[in-house]
Amino acid sequence: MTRPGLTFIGFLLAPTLSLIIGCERGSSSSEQLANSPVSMTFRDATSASGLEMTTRSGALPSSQILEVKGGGLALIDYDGDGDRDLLVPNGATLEDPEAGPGARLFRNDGGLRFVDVTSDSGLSHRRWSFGVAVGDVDGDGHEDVFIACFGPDVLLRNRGDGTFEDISGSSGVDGGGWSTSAAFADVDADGDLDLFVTRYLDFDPESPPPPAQFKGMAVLNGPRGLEPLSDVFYENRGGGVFHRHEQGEPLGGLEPSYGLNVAILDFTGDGKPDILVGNDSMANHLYRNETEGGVLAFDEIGLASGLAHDLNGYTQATMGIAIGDVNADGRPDVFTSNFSSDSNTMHVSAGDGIYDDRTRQYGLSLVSRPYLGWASAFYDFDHDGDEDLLVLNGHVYPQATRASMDSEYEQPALLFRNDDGRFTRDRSVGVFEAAHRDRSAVFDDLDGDGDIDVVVSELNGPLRLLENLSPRSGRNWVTIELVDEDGATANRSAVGALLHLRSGGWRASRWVAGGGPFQSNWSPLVHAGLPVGTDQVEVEVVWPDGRRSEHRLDRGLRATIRRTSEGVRVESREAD
Amino acid sequence: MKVKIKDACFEQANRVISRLWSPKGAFSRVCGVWVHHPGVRFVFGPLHPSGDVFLRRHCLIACLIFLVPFGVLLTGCTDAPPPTSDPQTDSAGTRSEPLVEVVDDERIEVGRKLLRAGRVQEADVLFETVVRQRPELARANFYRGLVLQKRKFHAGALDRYQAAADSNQAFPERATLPYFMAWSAYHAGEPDRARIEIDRFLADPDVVPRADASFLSGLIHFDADRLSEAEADFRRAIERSQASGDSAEMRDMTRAWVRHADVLSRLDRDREALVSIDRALELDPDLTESWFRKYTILTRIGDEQEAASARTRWEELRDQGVPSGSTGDLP
Repeated sequence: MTRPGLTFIGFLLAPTLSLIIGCERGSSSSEQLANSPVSMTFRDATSASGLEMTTRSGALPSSQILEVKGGGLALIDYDGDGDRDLLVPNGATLEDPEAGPGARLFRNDGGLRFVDVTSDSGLSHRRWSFGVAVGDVDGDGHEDVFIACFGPDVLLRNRGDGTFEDISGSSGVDGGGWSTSAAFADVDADGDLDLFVTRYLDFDPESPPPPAQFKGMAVLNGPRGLEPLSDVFYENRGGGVFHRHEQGEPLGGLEPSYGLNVAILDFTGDGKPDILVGNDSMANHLYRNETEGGVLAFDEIGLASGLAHDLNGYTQATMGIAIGDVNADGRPDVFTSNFSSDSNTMHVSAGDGIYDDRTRQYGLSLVSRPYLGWASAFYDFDHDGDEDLLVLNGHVYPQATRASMDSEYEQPALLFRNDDGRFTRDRSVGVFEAAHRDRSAVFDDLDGDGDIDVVVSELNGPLRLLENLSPRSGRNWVTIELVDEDGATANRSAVGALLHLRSGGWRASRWVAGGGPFQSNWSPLVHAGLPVGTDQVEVEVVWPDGRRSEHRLDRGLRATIRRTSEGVRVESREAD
Repeated sequence: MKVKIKDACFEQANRVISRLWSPKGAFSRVCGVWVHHPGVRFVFGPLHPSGDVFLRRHCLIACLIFLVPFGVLLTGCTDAPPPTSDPQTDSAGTRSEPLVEVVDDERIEVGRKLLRAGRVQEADVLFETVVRQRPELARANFYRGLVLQKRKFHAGALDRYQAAADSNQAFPERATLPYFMAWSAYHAGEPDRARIEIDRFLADPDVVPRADASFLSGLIHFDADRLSEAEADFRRAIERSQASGDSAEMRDMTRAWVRHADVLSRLDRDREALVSIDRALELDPDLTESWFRKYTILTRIGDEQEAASARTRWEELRDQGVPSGSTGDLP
């Protein structure tokens, strides 16, 4: 037979042989699976979920700065059934900031099915709302809600019977002005949750500022040129009664700033929770916690830490904050999303509270320039053992087009896959490629199947529930919830805890932190995808009081690590 | 390169397979509840998402080899379809046809004079008018792009430059197009496009090498974390600016010294980075970026006294209202 003939037969036989050999070889080899890219897959599961709601934040198109931040979302296990429900505080309009369409509460019934229980819960909150924080302020075992508002802030106490009562006045947290984000954490280490509230600027809807100029166009005014407000620290003095600290002691003589977001965790590695405030068009603040013996004290070290500015020493417009450990060194690294024609920023911890801008190193610089970023989060969406990154985007100026501002008004999200320490944009996930006016988002395993789902809040748009359907075959994960019932603390969800996970040469760290992606809260659920072939993972928990416990967890299980006065135990259950 | 292309193809094939087997995919619809049956997995072995990746790769390659001759055979039976791409340009955008001379619009010279006089807004109006009236005129598109770039409308500039590049017209500035396109693409957040254009410009034997072209090449390499290439580019930019003997160009390349320091700092060569920063400060003592970097590097290496001094100078310059770059153009 001629040589071409043999080649032709070879071509003909090759697929058949491959198929046969493939069948003989059977299922996956872990080494090859570990090296193979896994596509992340999400689907929009909103329509059948019961999360039918369009949020309100002024008019569309926006004409004033009050209208452009959108409203946050809160994950809260309000009924104590072990899964997280969704609270949407919602906004209002310039015509009547006190009476918007109202907050909504959706009970998670499992399987990504939610039921609107607003009326049963007694929620009647209608003030224009922005950020939201969740924590058990009075130590009664039920999660309460703080809502940062335009106007007096609101604290809703969870009665434990599925209803809430407004205790803003009696608790002392009903400060006015324009609050944007909030975070609970036990900052003074006395066992209860304190509260930090970022505030933005002085705005009067009845006398709004005239338009400003941007790139030759008349656009809504601010923040520059408008009066910034100072942030507020509320010290919990027990039973959910707070003492208000503003500019001055213990925060120091800070200038008011355009505060937009806050994260509370141990940024400096000294075991105490520090407070990072993301400011718009101003230097970010990092309050190093120097509290000793119950005497509150902070030192603002934003500039010295490197977190205040980008590499060039320029201020940015910090909106979203994501915390991860991108180099697996056990220290928290900080990603912040910023304005268009600027870059998002990846600050990597160099230890001792010093951070380097390593945005370029991680491939996150130029790619973000056309986008204006908001809620951001690191999660291992595809369960390959490293954390990916999602940034939601949308411009503030309705006039924004590619031609006029190098940036569109409605924008796709930026989904990055972590490829061996460098982030690569993944454009294969359709639900993140559609353009929206996104602002806030919450991340959690809402259906209990072991992967991270996302709920997104779009400015004056419908909520979107995005179900994670990334292939799981051969991929593994663990989820961990900490429950602290030690008796010495009211910080039941162990805000401030640090978890180190390891298996063989693989290392990862996670923080149970105060704050959130943007005007929303981080889930207390700790999630980790595991390297292929991992059957067990060792977990070291550094509890908020500094005590440690070590555990060995099987893959593919949802674990609760419960600390009581009798010790620490692990309860595990299968994925739903 | 070959490996990268193969990996990309395989990644795409993996995605297709995952979609086919997803709950709403074609296989799942056809197989229904049997989709997870061991028999189905046995038959489809390597084509199942949970199947052996190594074998799937080879199975796909084999299928491709099998299909190609058939494809050739089939397409050979019909008339060849017309090429879909622009016949005048190859895949890299390089022209394969000779350029043609066109009659210039005399308003372009007026616009050039306005630009030289710094009257950018007026030049913009003029070039916009010319482009609107004569959209086919490549040189008008080029200058409209230049004006937009000066006004920091990088995406719009890129569109005009592309229109000029797509034409078959000769004009005096044509050889510089890739250079300007690269800068606009860089600022518009399109690093891959910027890379292609600046490489094309630097490889052109007919253009005089420019210091800031090497600088941009360094920036793009730095963004891709290719540090040795970035360092070489920044060095080249500095050398070219020095060789030019032009004090303005040398001062302009102060930023190359700063970025050179950034690369060295990334490589944990902080002492050398400080030397580069000092060279930058010799050229431009008021560049705030330099003082900020000096402060951060000195802080990192523990020289608190010098760091404090650098910080003080940086704060002085900042408070004097030296533009703060990234967010400085916000309202």
